[in-house]
Amino acid sequence: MTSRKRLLSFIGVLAAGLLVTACGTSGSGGNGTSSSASSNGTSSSSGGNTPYEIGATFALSGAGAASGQLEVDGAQLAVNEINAKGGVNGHPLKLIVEDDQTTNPGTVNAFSKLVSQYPNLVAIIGPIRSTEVQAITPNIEQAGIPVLIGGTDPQLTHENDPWVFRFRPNDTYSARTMAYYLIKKLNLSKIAIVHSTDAFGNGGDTYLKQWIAHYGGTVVSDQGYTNHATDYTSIVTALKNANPQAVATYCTYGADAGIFLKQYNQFGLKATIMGSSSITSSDVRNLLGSQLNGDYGTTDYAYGQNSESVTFGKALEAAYPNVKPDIYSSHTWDAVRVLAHVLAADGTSHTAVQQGLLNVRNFPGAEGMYNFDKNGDGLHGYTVVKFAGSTPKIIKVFNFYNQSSSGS
Amino acid sequence: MRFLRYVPWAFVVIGVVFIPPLVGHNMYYAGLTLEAATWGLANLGLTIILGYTGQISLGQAAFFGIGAYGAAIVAVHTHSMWLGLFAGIVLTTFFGFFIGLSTLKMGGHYLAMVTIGFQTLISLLLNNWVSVTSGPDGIVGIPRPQIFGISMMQNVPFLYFVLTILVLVGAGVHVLRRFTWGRALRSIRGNELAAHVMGIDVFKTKVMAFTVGAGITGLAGGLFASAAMYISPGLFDFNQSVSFLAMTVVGGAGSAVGTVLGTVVLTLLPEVLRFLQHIYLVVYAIIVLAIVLGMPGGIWSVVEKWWSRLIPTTRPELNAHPVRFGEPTDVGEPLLTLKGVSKFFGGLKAVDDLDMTVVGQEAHALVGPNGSGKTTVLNVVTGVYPISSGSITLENHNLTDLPSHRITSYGITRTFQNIRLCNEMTVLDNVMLGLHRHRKSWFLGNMVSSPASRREQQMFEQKAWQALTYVGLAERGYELAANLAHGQQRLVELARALVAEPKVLLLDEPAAGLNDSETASLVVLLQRLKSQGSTILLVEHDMSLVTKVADNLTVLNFGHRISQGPVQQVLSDPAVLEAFLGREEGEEVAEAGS
Amino acid sequence: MANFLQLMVSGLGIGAVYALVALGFVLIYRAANVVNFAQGQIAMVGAYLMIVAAVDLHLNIWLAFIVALGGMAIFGVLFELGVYYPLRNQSFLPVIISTIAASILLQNLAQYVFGANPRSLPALFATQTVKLGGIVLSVQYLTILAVTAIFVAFQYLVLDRSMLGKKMEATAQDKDTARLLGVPVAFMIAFTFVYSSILGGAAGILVGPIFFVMPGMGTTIALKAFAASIIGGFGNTVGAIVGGLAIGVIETLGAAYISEPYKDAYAFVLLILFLFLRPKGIFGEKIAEKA
Repeated sequence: MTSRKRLLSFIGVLAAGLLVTACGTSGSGGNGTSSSASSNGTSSSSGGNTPYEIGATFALSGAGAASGQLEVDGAQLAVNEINAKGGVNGHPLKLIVEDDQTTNPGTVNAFSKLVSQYPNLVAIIGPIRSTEVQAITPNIEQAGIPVLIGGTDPQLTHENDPWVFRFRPNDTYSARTMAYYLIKKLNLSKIAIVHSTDAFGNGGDTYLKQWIAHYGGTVVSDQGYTNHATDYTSIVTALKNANPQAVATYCTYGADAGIFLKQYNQFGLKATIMGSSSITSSDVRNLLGSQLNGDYGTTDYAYGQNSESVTFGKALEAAYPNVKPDIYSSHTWDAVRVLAHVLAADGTSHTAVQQGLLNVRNFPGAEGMYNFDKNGDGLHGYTVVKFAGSTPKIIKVFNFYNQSSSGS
Repeated sequence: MRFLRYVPWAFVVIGVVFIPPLVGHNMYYAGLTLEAATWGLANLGLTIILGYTGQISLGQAAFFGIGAYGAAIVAVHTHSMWLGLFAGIVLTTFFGFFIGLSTLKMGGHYLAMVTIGFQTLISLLLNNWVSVTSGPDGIVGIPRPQIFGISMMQNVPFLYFVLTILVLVGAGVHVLRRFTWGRALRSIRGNELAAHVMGIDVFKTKVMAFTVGAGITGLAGGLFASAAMYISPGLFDFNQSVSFLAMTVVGGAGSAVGTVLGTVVLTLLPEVLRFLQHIYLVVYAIIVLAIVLGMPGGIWSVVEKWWSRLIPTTRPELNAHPVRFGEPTDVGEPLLTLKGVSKFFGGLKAVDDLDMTVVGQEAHALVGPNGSGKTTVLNVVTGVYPISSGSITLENHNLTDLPSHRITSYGITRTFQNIRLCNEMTVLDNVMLGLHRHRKSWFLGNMVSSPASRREQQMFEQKAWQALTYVGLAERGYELAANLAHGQQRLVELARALVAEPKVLLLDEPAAGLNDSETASLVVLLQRLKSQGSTILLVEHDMSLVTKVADNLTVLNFGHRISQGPVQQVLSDPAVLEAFLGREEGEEVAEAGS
Repeated sequence: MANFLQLMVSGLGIGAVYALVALGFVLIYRAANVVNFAQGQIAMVGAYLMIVAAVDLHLNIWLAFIVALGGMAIFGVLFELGVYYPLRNQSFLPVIISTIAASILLQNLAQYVFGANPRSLPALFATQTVKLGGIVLSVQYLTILAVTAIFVAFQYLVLDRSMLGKKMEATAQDKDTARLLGVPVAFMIAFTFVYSSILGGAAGILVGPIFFVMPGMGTTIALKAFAASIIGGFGNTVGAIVGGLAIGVIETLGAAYISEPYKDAYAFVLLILFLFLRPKGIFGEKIAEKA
């Protein structure tokens, strides 16, 4: 009797689920990204050669799921493009994605699953969140496989880890760019900092303070917040009192930046905003729209910063109609393409890829010109954009790369 | 069939011997095994706190984190993981002790809230106390211990190490359940008031549960840090506490095996489901929901049910020679003396200035109309209610203002008008609870199954069987108390009170709700007790039972004593007659309603 | 002073959100003796229903609001049948776990169906802020305060005085006696779930324009709302409201005057101190101890 009741109610839950699903699919229209993500339709185009497998740990669930899907899209786009042209030396590429759940243990599991279950991986595209890269550092060392990361904490490539390669410029560059542009170009020297209190935000805060001092500015207020904070009144009030000329932000999650900026605008504060790259993410642009007008951002990807960025942006929008190109999709697109270049030129063994990556010079990517230094940092500059409506317009492209001295 | 008993242990040994070499060389499997093992160990702490003691902790991940950070920080500075593990355990034990102290005032969801608050504070500290914890960056380069010169940097030896600890601690938690202290913990979960009155210092025992439970989780945290070699605050947040709770309950919170099983299932399930890509967490949640709906007691409770059907527990042979219960007292000497005892509830005087003396080997009945304060007297004597004024002495010990468990230790036990048994414990366990005041074994001794614990267990079991035989329930010893009929449950309470060997036995309406034949056999039982020299204080309104059993009577009306003396003399007292005649109608109404 | 007032107003606004969700917690706790860990996700479901109605189906904003709340009523029934009803005779632990599983399910189902990207939800009123002296008032926060006030007024002036309300109260006080008196207890519990879902859904719809709508939005709100219901004394509706407002104000003031990163701690520190001093919350539990 009771078991029958339990069964009935369980069917109730299922019905509830189906109902919600039905509402959703009829309502939200073509959210095409979810279905195409897992596609590995590349095997059809292979000329009988075994595919080169590229692993990836992206956040498909949890707090970072929005960005994770964009990373998948970018990487898959590059894989599809390369395969359409016949692959690498006749071998198609195959992308194998594991969900890192936006948590450290999730990343460790995803990474070690890739390493253990797919012995033929040529490389792994690693996390974009710095703590997650740190979490898998012991595993990377043990596995000895090149890992192409997006985390921008400078320490990640400076800890003598020969297998970690960064496909985004690190935060010393973004902090330097922000400080330089605000102080030297806009003549705004009284600067307030708003940052999340995680590895990324605290790191950014530290470097930003260094570079602001270096260029002769002053930090009038330094405000940290916990990720996923829901109300920024206290920060906005503090900013109002400090009366800065400019506010520089380091927000890990785009949605947090969005809520902060919205409240900032509502309170009628007028100081110039200079955001780290998350301000240019498609999330923030979708959410805030023209409220971004007049704000500045420092980003590693801006449409039009170089010819590849345009090629990439057009291709991405053609492949995924609802997706705007941004830092998340561009760095994985670049990573796949640089990797394909190395595979073609230097071979597929882990050491060949490792050496090959270190020797990459002047490879044009959507994020900029890739020149790997001895630490494994591929990019060395940032682009300053200013929003006209919700569209970031490129103001200036900075590149700190110096052929003679590698690294900052 | 006897060999079947050893099958589970054989499985465990085979597991420990063969798992490490099988998974150790695969980074993924080794990582998952270490994760499941350390989380399972952490959850064993929750088994003690929640599963046994019934205290909800939503801050278990904070203990886990304190253990991990304590171990990591010490190990990184001293290069000794042993020192680190030790520091982690000491630190969490300390925190567990303090959280345990909060149970003095709080239980239920308030305690849950305190633990959530603790969890939040620890998370914030780990994130923001950068100079010590390295903040959100976390701690890198955590070493693994060396044992007999063997480095455990390789996964296979380290897995042996971790699994061995898991099995040892798991076995400790598992055996604790059947010994004296485990029973005390479970009785707090089952019926806190009964536990208290049976001589268990509930508060101290809860603190002990939290301290030991936190210590185990802290050890797990240290091992986790050592296994992962990198820790960061996100690993120890509220969500982790919630998933610890889910793992423990899904497996079966009341048992160590169930807890570890639940941890393994919930750790591996999402990994197994990864092939489902975008909906794997949806499917995972549906499966967890289905498990809880289908097996509310946890997976292990179902397994245990099958198991007990496969191998029914057999009762030991009972020797038939007659026994008597209760500490001997001198005939006619004043034993329990109440002087000027009052109990006020706000303005209501439930008991007002009562003088009463129970002498050795008498059966003294306390009677009076409903609401005349009879049960209140028993509650004041046993320390359930604090006394408003007056004094209570047993022989020459002053019992006034002592907590229940201390009063019990002087030799007073009782039964309850509203039956207070631990429904989810067996009849035998319920009775053995009465023996708590005679315990000699220690909490940690129970966990290592020390010879003293086993001797005590054997002795207690024998006594409990004797008591059950005495009240005529020897056949039902292994059943759950909840499954017994009302009248039988009363007898279980009586047996529980008897095994404590009281000087004075307090019975609160023992015949309430019994049918005629049950009442008749109760009378026989009480007369037998009396003939063996027990001293009984009886609250009862069935006057035929009272006249058959009692020597002396005290009559209460509106909290006042209106008469006292030998039964026949009191019953002819006009004041008593008036009170009783006035009571007739009320009595019938009450019985119709019950 | 203007700063202080500004912080107070914002604190009350965010506190009203906690209060609405806390009210849902308390009602379910009283009726069914269950702490519903999925209450935050219920708010999230409400917000997504509003997105479907207002953004995807282009309904008039007020019509969409009503449609979404109607959807929440149906959702409440399904939730009760699927998550609570089968376990109604069990101890609180399996029920807690089943609500936890439901919360994971709802969050991931929402992500599967609607995607992980945060979406913005139009506010009920087009104006964003009004200025009053030196203070900026967010219209959305004012709306939330107003809606909370309406729900509270409804609770006290209509529900508590109606037969329905009295039956709910009887169910909360003592199920067995209520059953004897002919109160349809199972129905009253189901009704409570429906009403709580509507409250939670309304909270989600109202915070949508402030927080953005995403699958994980419920988690933070739920934890604070839970704290709010404890501060007020679990099982007490006025307490839940006062507790919610108090937490909102305390964390906003604490963040401004002490330290922002420890924002989440203030409410809990106060709460713990509070519990040691007054273990039954501000207003005490309305239900007598069921010993």
